[in-house]
Amino acid sequence: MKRFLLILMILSVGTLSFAEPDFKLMLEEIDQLGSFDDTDFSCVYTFVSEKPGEETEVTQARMFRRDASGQFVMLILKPEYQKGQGYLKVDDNVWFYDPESRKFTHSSMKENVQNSEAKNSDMDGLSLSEDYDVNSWEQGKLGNFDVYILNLVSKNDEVSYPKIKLWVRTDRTIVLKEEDYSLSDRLMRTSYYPKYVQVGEKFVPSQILIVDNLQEGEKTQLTMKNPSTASLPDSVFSKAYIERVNN
Amino acid sequence: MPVLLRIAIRNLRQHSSKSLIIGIIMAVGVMILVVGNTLINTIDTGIERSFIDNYTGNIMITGVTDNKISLFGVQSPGGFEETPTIPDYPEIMEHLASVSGVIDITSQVTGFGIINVEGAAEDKGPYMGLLFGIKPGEYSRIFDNAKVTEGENLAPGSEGLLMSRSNLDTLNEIFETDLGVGDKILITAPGSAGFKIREVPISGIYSLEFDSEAASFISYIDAQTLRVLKGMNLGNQGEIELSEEETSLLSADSFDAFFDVDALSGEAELEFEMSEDNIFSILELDTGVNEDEIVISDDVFAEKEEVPTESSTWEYILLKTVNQRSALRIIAELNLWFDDEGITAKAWDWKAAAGPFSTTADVIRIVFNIAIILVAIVAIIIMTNTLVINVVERTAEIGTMRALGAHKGFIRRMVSTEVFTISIIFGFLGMIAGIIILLIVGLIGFEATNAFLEILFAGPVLKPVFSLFSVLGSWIIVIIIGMIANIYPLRLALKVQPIKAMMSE
Repeated sequence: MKRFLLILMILSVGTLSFAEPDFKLMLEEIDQLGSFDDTDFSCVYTFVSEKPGEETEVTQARMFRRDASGQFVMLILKPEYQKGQGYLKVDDNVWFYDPESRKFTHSSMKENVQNSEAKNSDMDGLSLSEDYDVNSWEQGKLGNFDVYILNLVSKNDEVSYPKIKLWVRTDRTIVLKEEDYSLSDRLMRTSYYPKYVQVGEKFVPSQILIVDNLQEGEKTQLTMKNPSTASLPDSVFSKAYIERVNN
Repeated sequence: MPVLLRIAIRNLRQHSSKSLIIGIIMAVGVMILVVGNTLINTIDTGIERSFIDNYTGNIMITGVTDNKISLFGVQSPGGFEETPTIPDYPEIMEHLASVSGVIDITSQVTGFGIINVEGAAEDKGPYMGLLFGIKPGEYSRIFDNAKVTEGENLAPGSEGLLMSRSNLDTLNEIFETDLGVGDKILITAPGSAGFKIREVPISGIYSLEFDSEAASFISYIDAQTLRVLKGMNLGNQGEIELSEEETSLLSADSFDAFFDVDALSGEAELEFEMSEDNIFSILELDTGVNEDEIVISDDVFAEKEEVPTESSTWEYILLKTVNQRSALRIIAELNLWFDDEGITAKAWDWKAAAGPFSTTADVIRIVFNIAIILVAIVAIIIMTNTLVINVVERTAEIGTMRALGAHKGFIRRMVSTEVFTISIIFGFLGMIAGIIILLIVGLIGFEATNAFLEILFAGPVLKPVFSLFSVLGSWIIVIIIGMIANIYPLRLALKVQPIKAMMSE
């Protein structure tokens, strides 16, 4: 009888351990699906930002990413008077170029893109598994989807938000919703990813809604179009290139 | 002359030393009050004139914030809270056009910028500047304190900066340059999207009608440039039409309803390819996005367009009203209207707009008033003591008067008349002394030794502004203090028993 109970206990523990997904692996998979490590990636983003009582702001930008070396270049195409402004990310440094002043200023991944709710870090490849640990999790439902709700805590202070909550589909490793929190657990921002498009073997959100939870009514929709994995010249990821395209 | 007054004057003469002590205390009291109140009034008037006429107008309208807001920004812990932009600006402006009592209106954006000079040595500077982003023609019509002495005033629709001569001299001294009208400076400012730099030409140099070092610190810049520096909404973006797909999420009622359908929309077509031919003309390439829906002007691929600068993104609306009284009425009406319309804006008086400057003046007034109250308490105690001694010394006299048939009422009126007479005579002398001191201060012309005092004095020199109300008020206050000090001695005098008084001699 004792032997039977022991076997039952071992089996129960085994079953429980099988029930809990490997979240580290899940984060790695999310990173892998959203990052282009073997190819370059380019697309056009349209940012539409709404703030209560203000005119809607629209920005269109062409994005070039080389995730393998952690670089990106984003060039503003519209509106006309911001045309040619550019962002260059090399390692952890982000430089903003303004053709009016012909100067680069240092920015960071934590700062906003133009006047939108999107941050520079949102435009980069994903590195959740490098930057965060899964602190806790639960299962839930979001719309029609069964999801894992993961509470992540940052491993370093380079990230834009020290704590985030992710809603990840259980059937496919796709993030549907993200809540960003401050260190004191204050909800800062909520992002929704209702639509993905397959680009080669990767999945890229083609529509994102970012809601500012601190400033009521402020939100930005990002729409991704014209994706490409064609290789880009090395010279694109340089200050000289951004200056040159403005001449 | 009434009997009581004659008796009072006779008694005051008989007890001249004590009358003099009480009188001097009263005179000094009136003198302090006259000088103090006049200086406070001068400061008040100075700040009011300086701010209403030159910077704030009578009313300031802002967006709503949890912290105190002034024309210089939000006073938040750490100073990091951004000044809210005014919501529904066009609606508010339309409403203001119909508000009676409003003479003129302008709008403003305020910011701080780090000023640098291209080519200057790296160890020079930087220099911080307070920037008022204004509507050129409109602003100078309302606030005409700044007169352009060199170069040109800011013109609608063009970039530029107006600096004071002293500000430009300081800048040239710091950077060891010889900048003047037409030269360009670099302004860097922090915003939500990081630091932004703009190269701005110095379009003109201004001088102030009421010159002030602190006010000279302000540089006037076209609002659109300051919006760019602050990362604000730039308003008119030209014709950009968006597809439904690009805005559909923004109009959703329930965000979680996004997930009622499958998120995957299939495989994208990969069209874009970068080549040596198009690598440097990327800004001119067709984005392939919403070809049918984005309406752009014909010359979008040519040189940059001049985009109209009329934006409705402002941080402040400043109103001039017919007078200060009507301003209070309009503020109340506007705040009611904002509530009714659900607009998160608020109207404030000039004091709120002046922010820390008027607050400091209020603090000075409170400290002065507390000091006056303390002095008044001490004066009452000294005067009471002196009057008590006076009454005790006159016990026999008062007792005799009572024995001869004088009623308590007569004694009360007699003692009160004595104190009242001292108050009138010495209060008048104190008032004259205070006025003489203020005239001397005015003649000497105390110079403001720092920027803050310049604002308080509404100019580089203190020129006291007399107020009849303040001068006469000080006199009346001292008379009241005298009568209060007289209460206890009077009670003692009324308690004197004729028989005991006569026996005590």
